[in-house]
Amino acid sequence: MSESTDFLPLTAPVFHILLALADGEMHGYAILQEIERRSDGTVKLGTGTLYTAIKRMLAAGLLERAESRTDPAMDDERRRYYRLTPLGGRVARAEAARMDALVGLAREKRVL
Amino acid sequence: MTLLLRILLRLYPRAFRREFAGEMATVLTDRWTRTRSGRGTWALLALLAREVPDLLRHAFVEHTSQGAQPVRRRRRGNQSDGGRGSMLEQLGRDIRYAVRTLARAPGFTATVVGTLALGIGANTAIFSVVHAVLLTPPPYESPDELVMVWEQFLPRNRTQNVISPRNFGAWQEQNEVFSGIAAMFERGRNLTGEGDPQVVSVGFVSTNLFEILGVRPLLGRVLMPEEMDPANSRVVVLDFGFWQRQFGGDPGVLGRTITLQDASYQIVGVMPEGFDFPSEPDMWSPAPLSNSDWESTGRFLIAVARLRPGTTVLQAQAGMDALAVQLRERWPTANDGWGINLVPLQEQEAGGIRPALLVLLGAVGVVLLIACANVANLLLGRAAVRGKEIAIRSALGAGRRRLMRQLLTESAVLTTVALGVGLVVAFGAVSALVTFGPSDIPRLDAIALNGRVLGFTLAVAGLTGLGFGLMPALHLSKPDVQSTLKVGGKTSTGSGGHRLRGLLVVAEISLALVLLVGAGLLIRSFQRMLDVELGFEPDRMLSLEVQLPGSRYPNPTQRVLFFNEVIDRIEGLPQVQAASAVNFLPLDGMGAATSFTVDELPIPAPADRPTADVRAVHHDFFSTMGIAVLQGRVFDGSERADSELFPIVISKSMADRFWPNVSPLGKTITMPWNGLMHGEVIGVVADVRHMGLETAPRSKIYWSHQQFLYGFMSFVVRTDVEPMSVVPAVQGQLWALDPQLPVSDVRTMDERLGATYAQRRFNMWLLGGFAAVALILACVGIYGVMSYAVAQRTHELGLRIALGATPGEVLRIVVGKGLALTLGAVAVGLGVAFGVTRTMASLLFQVDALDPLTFASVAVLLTGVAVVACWMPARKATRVDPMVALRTE
Repeated sequence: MSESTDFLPLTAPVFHILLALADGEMHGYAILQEIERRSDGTVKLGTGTLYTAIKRMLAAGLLERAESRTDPAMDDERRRYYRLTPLGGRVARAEAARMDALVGLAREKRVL
Repeated sequence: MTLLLRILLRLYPRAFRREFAGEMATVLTDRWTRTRSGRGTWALLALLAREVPDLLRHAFVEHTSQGAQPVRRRRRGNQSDGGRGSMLEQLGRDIRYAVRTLARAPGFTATVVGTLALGIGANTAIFSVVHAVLLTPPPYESPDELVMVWEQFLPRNRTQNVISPRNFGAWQEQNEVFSGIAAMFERGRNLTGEGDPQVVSVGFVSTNLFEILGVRPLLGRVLMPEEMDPANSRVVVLDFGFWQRQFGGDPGVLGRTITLQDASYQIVGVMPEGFDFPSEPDMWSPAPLSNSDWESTGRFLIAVARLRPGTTVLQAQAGMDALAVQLRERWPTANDGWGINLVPLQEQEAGGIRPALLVLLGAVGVVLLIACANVANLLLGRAAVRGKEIAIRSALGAGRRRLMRQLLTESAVLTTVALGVGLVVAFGAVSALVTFGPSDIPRLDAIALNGRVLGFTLAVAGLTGLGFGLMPALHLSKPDVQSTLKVGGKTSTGSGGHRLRGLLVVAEISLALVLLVGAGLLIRSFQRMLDVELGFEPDRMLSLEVQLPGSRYPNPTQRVLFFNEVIDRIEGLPQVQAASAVNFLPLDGMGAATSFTVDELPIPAPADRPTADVRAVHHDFFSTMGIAVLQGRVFDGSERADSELFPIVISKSMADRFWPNVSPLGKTITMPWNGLMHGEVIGVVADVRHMGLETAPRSKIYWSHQQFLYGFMSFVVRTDVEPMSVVPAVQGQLWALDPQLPVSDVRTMDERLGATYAQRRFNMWLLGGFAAVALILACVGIYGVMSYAVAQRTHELGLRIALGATPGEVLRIVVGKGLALTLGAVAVGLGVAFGVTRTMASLLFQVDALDPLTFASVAVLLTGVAVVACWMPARKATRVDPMVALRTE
């Protein structure tokens, strides 16, 4: 299917959100924490960035809302959970493959 | 703080908010609480610095985005329509271009944003206080119909005097202008049986008070008309804060009884939060006045009334004036010279602080004006440097409107960023104001950054952006393409731009001068106040109040014995030098007063009789307080309650007034006090300030507490150590004699003194701070203009040096030009200051609003600082290498 490559290249926040959700469903704050933790604090998304991105990803069918609540420790009624759609997973893989190709190129040229 | 972030969420489109605002608020709260608990203030500031611009930027994006290909990175430069695009796309491009341009000049951007943020933040903070205190109506039904009703005694210039029950009764029956009038007085009462004994403040009120104000209880009921009968009056309605503090907000308190002054009262209701009329009592109870009490002519009540519908305050005042005439005729002895004065409630509540707030609001507005002038100046300077860029762009076909729009977009981007930073500044400033502001600002707790305040800030920021952005834009968008390009990069905007910048600097300096004069006057007032003779030594002195319940200490001898015993015990403590007691402490207000007649002089009509404050003191009072004995002697403890002629000690101002040329010792006076009381002067002591520091000391009569005693006394304790450290020992001695006695108002004398300075100190620091900011901004302004002028004239100055001008002459040319600007500005500023300082007359103390010393020193200071600011570019000018200078052409 070629549709997943239509979205490339992804903006950095979108790619980070896709990667964070690769582990399973999460709510907004958990996504931010996950991104910050995985990047050793070098990537910190603002709340406005996160939710405008989520809105677009929902509209593009990359994400969907999950019904279940998986973090009962800090639950409250306004917390909603998100997970990847199959399309979202494919787009993440396509972007990763695109980057991988670029990194391979960089290695060949001894940039890396 | 999360409030600020939540308010930013409102900027998003409605549909977006419906979908995400709740979640975003949760995330923001999470981030805020986690950061605060983990990493402290800097991390919080970093969080704000990241979130505020991020939220603003995406709010904008949400409003403008077209929604196509949303998750994909945009490819630049391949739009099909050759770069024109829709309005929104153009705007987006302008904004991106502006952001890039500004990011390339971080020093410039930081200066502009910092200057504007300071101005916007300070304005928001002061306006939030003005909004809460002056613009928010008190929380009563139709508050504009409510008035305070005072008696006034114009012969002694007392416009808001407490009122007598007999006059109140007459007003209540005979007025034709009020739909209702309520009386009240506040008293401290000992509360026992609820933890440590404590003094609570009780508002004793007419039961119709709640109906007149139009307030409902939160729980239970308010007071009932039949409870005005002293037989039924043992009920209380609790204040919200007291209910929370004392009972943890337990709704089960209804029906419980509490013990006040050894009598039990039933709790029948709780008032809602924010209701604290008249001055934050802990509870309200029906005024327990008997029929004969209501006939009393002693003045101690305050009254609030609601105007009949359609009656104006002026009409009501006229009606009450007519009634006052009748009451003077009916009871001439008590009412001769007395009138009635109505003050709208809103005015009353904000009265004390209103002038200060208006002056501060004006000052902070001036700071913003200066900031705008400065930023406009910076932009003009930058525009001059960019003259070539603009000329090229216009040569390539950019229209005038297009250029202007680009320049305005830059201003808008600067303003938006400054707005975000300014809100952070404002939030910090408001927290500081609430924490450090004087406690007599009414409704201090209601001060907050709410929607209306933010609206004000947005308006201010918008005007600011237009103000500083429009001038350079208008100026620059009509460049003469040919001449600018022809001179090969010489970046001149011609004499027009230069004159404009000169004018801006003149405006800045003159505004700064006005603020400096204002601050100078306040500083001089404060100095004057620190110089006031207190009449006593406040160092290392503790003070605390004790009230003896009449039920357990019914007879005066018991009370005297108790107080004397306590003082002996306190004096026995190792860290204590001396201890004594008085009924009303210095600086604590008027206290008790009486009229009197001097026995050897003819007796004047009642209205013309002199009055004096009366103080009942323990005999060691004068030595403990360090009050100088000027003539005769003071009490020794042998005074007896049953003597015919009381020995009295009088203050110096009383001695000077009634016995100016003779010794007052041995003279006698008569006071209408418990019947008629006769006193013989045995000594004269120095004047002590009781009404604060700003009113002249009044005549004062001291007598021994062994002769006439109140049920309450304030102890004063002179210590060898830090006074607060002896509080437990002093309380221990008191409770050893009576474990049920609450000790209240425990403060050092220095604290009491500090509280009387608080309002002035607050005004002085704020206005002084604004003036300092103004001075710095003005200096930056003149420095910028002079540096630029020197850079522009490098060629000319080089030529002069080549032709033999000495460094001294070059210096004179440059500094002379700066000085000319400054002197012009100082003249304008002095003129403006002459006009406006009179508006702050009520904030001054023993300093004239046109104080020549202040005006002169500020003018000299400002000129000096401006000359220094010119000096630096001038020095640079003397080092111009003629060869380099000549080659720049």
